[in-house]
Amino acid sequence: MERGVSDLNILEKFALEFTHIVEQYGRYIIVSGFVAIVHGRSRATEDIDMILERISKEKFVQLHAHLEKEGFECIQGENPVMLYDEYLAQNTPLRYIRKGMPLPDMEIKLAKDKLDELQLQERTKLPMTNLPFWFSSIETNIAFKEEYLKSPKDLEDARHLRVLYEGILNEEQINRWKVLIKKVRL
Amino acid sequence: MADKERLQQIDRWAAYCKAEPEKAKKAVNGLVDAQIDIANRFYQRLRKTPEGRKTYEKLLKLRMERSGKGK
Repeated sequence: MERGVSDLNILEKFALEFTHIVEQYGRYIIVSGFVAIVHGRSRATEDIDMILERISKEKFVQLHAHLEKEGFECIQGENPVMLYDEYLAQNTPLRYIRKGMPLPDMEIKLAKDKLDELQLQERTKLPMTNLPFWFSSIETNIAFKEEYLKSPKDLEDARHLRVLYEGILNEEQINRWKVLIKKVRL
Repeated sequence: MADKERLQQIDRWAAYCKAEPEKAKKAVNGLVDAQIDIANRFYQRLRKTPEGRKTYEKLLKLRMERSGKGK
């Protein structure tokens, strides 16, 4: 059973409101630190990372207008055409916040390569979190943290997820992702 | 904290999250909410003066520069 809104923390409420809008325009996944935090990792973060399928400029203009109407603002600017051309199309993420509240922010980028597209294809809900969001799989998150991101914080996130999913994790999948990461990103 | 102890603490906490998900969730919610509340209150105070607003703008710019780094 999904959690009631009163059980959610500020990050989760923010993500819930944001994804409710975004999902009307394209497929998304939430990746990286937020995935560990919704699994109980006790660490701070100021943003949530989202990958959105490569939507058209026209669609993004509509999405941006919808987000603004619902009280979000993009910290890089107001003009959606500029935001698309100078940021999203160049694979630079945008950051959206609640108007007047600097934190938290949603860092949103378009799928930029085969790895992002594959993560979107294999997106999943994570029942252990009781949350309605679409995530990249736990195996993918672990592979990225151990093979690509590798900061102490990311390695600790991966370790935390490994303990939680012990006995359920598909190590073959993790290794498959690590091979793909090496091939495409490193 | 030494690295080994730090890793042991991560394992202990993860095991607790698995065994007592509701209690762990409550503790993490408190931490997440407090961190964001404290930071937002700080930024609100900072933006009250012209000099503070400039500093705030610089901090926002820094955050934009970090966008997508390594992800």
